[in-house]
Amino acid sequence: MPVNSTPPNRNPDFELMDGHLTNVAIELFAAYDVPIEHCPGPAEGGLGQETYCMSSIGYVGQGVKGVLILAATRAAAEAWTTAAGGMECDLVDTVGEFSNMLLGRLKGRLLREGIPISLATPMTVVGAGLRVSVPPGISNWHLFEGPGWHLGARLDAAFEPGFQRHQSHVDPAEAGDAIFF
Amino acid sequence: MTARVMVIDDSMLVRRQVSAALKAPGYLVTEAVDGVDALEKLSGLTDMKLIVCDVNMPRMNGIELLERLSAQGSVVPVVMLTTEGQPELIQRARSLGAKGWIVKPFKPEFLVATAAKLAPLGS
Repeated sequence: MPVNSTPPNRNPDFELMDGHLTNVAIELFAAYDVPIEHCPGPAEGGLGQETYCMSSIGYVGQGVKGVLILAATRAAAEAWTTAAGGMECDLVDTVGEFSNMLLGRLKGRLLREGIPISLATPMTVVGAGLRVSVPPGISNWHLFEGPGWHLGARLDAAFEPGFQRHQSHVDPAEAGDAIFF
Repeated sequence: MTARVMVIDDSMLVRRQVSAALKAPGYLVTEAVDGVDALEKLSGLTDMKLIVCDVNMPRMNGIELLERLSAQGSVVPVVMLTTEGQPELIQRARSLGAKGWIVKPFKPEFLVATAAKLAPLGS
């Protein structure tokens, strides 16, 4: 999978978002008792020619918009499904739902940071040698390794001129929280 | 003794997780893939005791479904199960009559306890 990645180290807002992505990815899988490790450096040579399932979810906020992409092999999706309860794995559905949970967690962190965003629903494809378009703004790939599998996550963000984080911060409900009325 | 519960989520993984968790103690589970599907299935079921509903779904999302159920005068308790944690959304759901809000991922035993509280088996 050819990968294009623009270095994120020129925009502190993107660095903030990108840093949270790393953290929430590790936390998400930890919630399923699945340890993953963030591998240093994006996969400049790509994630390989294996068959991947790739899910993308668009997001938009005030002055920022972009996409989160999650790419995983069948082995990864099967491991996640097992961790979620040992059901039969539907590759597209599993990767789509995990991308949804990943971006949902990121949304919560960004809300605390004064970057409220709204999410679209996942769009998922499966194939070998998938090519991802060059992002219109800033972008960064991450590679994570789990026990016997790996996954890639790419965060794209395009900021409008004059973008500013909100000053009024909000405390959203976190993963695992339950509120009863 | 049993009680019927509906799980609404566009993710098969989540529907299966929730169904497995609630079937184990004896609930009858009806699945729906989004709000539109849920409304169609609810129209043919008069014994629904609890609805577990996602928020972000195609065609009709969970908040829109709550609006529809509220407008219909439904008294079936609804618990939202979602990745969303935004206070505005939670407040909106509450104002539309939702009984709870759980942020994914969930612990099966916690969901069962929630169901037992809102829709006791045999109710």
